[in-house]
Amino acid sequence: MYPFFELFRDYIAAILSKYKDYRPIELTTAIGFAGVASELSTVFTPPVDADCLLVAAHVDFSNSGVVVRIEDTSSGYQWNVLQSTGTTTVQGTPVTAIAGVTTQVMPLLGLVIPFFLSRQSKLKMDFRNSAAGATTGGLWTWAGLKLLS
Amino acid sequence: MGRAQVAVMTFLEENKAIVQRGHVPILLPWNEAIGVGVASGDGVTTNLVSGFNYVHFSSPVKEWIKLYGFHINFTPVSVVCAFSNQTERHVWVPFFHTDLASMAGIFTQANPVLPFFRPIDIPPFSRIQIILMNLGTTITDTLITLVGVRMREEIACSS
Repeated sequence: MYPFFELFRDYIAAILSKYKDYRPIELTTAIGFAGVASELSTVFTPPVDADCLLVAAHVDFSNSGVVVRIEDTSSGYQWNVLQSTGTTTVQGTPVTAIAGVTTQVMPLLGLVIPFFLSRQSKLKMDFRNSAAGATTGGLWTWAGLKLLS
Repeated sequence: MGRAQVAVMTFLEENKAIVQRGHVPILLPWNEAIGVGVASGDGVTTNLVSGFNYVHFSSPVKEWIKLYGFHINFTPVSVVCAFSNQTERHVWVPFFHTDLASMAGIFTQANPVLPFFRPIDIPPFSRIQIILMNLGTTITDTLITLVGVRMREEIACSS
């Protein structure tokens, strides 16, 4: 499923070893697009009262023109480097590069490396709707492990 | 020694300075989206215009990057490509007639990020050169995304 997890098995095991147990967790956020071309929407993952290891992501629409920027609010780490071209401002990474889509063979797309989200922290996600064929609504789900101590 | 152990040992060796300072190297998701082609005029999208040749570079960052694959948000009909890592005297695609679909995952496919057989190391401040030529019709809203892992010193810690 996630071809590179093998490379980081020890790294992931080292994180899990610090906790007594873990449970599956799904963090779903409504994007709330109104269906307007190039509209912006900033949403946050719901806070969790435990550390989490986010492993994969899913969106419920197939629109490669929708882009997203992701930031961990506790550390300030920005997942995305964005490079503009000429007068164009690239405002995010296509959602299809990070998240699996409902209609795909694998609706959950694994991250290359799971992301450690600390207790009560949130991921801030800045979405921009596509310039043509805008999406309405939208749900984004992070799937992973809730780490129990 | 297993593959995973080799990877960790290599990582620790490469980041000896960090480890000696007692810091924990952290692996973080990293991706870079590049608008390839030419600005379309709407301020947010780029186009790969038919018959044109484009050269782009990824942004240099100060940390090691392990590059795992490319993603494109368009269907590349008759787009050929060449890639290279700027720190090496080696071009991944020497003859510039490789179909982009053989290098990058497409959003409609089962594997939208097409992984390399082995991850590619991008040293600090190096860049990936991306050359594209569109031999077909003009393609609109064209982003190529590099997907990988960024190796960083400890950024947050709770005990």
